[in-house]
Amino acid sequence: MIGTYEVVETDLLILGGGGAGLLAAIHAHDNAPDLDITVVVKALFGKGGCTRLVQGGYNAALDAADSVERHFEDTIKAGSFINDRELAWLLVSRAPAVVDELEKRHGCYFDRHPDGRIHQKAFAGQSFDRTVHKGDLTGIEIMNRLTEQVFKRAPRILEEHRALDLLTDSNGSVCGAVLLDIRTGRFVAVNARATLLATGGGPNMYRIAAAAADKACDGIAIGYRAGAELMDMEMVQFHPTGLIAADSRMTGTVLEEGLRGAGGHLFNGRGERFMERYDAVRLERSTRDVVARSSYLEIRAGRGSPNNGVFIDVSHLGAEFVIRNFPGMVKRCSDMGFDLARKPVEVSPTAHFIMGGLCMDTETRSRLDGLFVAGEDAGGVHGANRLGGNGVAESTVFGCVAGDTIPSLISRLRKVSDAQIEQIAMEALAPLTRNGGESVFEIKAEMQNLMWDKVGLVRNGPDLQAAMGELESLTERLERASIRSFRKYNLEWQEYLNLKNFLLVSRLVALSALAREDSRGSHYRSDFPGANDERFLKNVYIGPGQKVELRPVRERHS
Amino acid sequence: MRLILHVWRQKSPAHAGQMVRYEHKQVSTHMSFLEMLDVLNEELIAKGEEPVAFDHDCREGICGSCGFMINGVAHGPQPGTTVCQLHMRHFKDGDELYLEPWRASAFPAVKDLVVDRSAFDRIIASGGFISVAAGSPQDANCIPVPKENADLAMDAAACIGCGACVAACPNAAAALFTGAKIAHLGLLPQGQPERYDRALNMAAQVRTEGFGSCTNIGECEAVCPKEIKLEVIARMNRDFIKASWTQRGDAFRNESA
Repeated sequence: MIGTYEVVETDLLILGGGGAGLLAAIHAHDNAPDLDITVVVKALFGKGGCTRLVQGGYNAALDAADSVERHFEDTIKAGSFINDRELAWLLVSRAPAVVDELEKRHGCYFDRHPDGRIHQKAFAGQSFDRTVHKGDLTGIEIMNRLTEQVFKRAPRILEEHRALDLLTDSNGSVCGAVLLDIRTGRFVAVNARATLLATGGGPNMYRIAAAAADKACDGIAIGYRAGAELMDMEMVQFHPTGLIAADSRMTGTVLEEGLRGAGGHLFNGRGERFMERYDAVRLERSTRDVVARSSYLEIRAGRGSPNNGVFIDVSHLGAEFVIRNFPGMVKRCSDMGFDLARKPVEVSPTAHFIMGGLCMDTETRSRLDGLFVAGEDAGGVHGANRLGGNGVAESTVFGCVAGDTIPSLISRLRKVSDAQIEQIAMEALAPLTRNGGESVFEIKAEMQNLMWDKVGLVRNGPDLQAAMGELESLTERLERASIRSFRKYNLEWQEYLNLKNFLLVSRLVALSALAREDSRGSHYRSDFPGANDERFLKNVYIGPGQKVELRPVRERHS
Repeated sequence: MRLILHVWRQKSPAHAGQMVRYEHKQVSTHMSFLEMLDVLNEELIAKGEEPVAFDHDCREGICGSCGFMINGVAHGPQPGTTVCQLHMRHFKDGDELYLEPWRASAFPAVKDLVVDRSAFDRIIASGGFISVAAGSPQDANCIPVPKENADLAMDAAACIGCGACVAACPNAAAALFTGAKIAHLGLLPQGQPERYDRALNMAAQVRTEGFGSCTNIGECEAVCPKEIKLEVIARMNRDFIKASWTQRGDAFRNESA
């Protein structure tokens, strides 16, 4: 039934090929050149994932007038003080060295001042202009250069392979993963001495979302099913300025933060600059959580634009300035028929990033032996809200940390059981053997609407309870869904496997949101509209069996 | 809007392919071209037929995953635009469109509109990187780079590796792709130490992969979704010729042999 499958033995299995996965591969190889490394990418190698989509840039304290301490303060303030202080400190303190490394060792070249210093631009929520960038297409530069460096080191690369589940031994230690080759429909079992989860999050379970099309919260779902502990799952960031493109699925694609940083204005449908009512001091340069929620409240109050959004207007900055500084954004808008340089453009909040994820320590170890985690799959770094420009900083810094620490922490190869491999494969194949079930596309659309309406920017207890029930019934419906039984490049099958992970992660988001009875950062409860530090200056953890626990925030010791 | 689509369907490299006609009645002008195919695929799945396979990921025109021929033009009729960013308002009711994969012997068929472009990866692996740390004694980011060179390098670095240049070229040459990489690194201080070895090694790999020779036709520049200029090919040729005349390294000897 499952067919023959290949078994690959490797030292380090890296699931994911974005900034975190590639830097982990580069560093692990350079630290231990004999290490056998396998990089698994769900999309095409070097092309897939979200690091490439980074427009804005990379936060690092480089200027003499700036400091790592200021970057740290901005980061935990934006995170409403529930960031893991050790992880946040690691982020800001290593970021300058990683920017330096990207240029000097990997050949990136960021925008410069006329005197040769790296140019750093303004991003929202920051006390200093510290965002390193290459125009507004920073991610392409970082991904292309890292891809070249990985090719040079020639690890085993499995592209268009998706991880289904992790393999564990009788002690619960992780010893590899079962993959599905999307092109052939065949299974591959990888037996690894260490496994790094770096798939990236991607909250595409919301109706309006920004992440790349291959993203399905795979890493978080896979890690949780294997028994890893998660934290802060209620913290989902909505970017305030997702482009609205009528009934096109392009809706949700992000217009970058630098537009607000450079002085862009937001208007509601009545032409009012509504941010004056929500954050009179920072206005449009307030943090993402505040701006996104303010826009959402305007839209819900009936003061939105014709297509249920608000307007971003940068025309007063001058068309020439906008075209020169934001060429990618101007092009993106013009593809859709909008003139960003000269006219207001309709935008909506769009689901963008998951701050929560697998718990990790400062050496990227998860709570499971043999399993490491880096990038958006991990939680704790950003607390309740991520600063723009701290995302690619996180994936690259922690990718480097993983690649530096794993070679010294790697254990012996543990044997995997054939029965476990076959069980994972059989589960994936189940919908291909059924008949008469409903379409996965129907289930997906219902999930996306449900998450947007009840587990979105503004939440409340009864809605979250209802959502938990509805997500459970969607999961049961998915378990009865049937798919045409061919294996090669079966897009419907991939959608089924995505949905399985989306529905699990959606339930964990709702569960965590119910437990947090206060409003903080990206999480807003209309039934508990203020922050309650006495009870909730804590992190919400979810362990195996959906056991929820609140624990104090980890302080900084280093 | 209603469209007639003729789509290249090929189950696998082992099967013969053919054009299959589909009538698509539910095309919204707001859709991108790939969304239009998504809707077609959902209809095909509902009818119990196999959906059309095509590569895609970011749908923002920057990942380089997508790409196929529309009426014989790589990425379709809109200049400087990938198929994911191509919008249906550029077409009109009743249009008849022929969709085919990139065709080049160096890009073997996988399924339907999907081809294997890993030859590009091997060209990069043959030298399209820097490997000399540009650190002390003088930091690369302390060396002033003339603004003009920085801009030219950035333009060349815009390549997303989609393969449209190969598909459009009557010779199926990979000169624009390879030239973009060589020009980009050759314009920056980080890329200097390996500049000439890079040109020799990458050119050798291009030939190994079975790409054709460049005869300066310019179809590649016309279809490039990132609007990379033919000038990068001139830069590649300059570096390659200079390297061939001045170096007697292994790469050159292998070339001659």
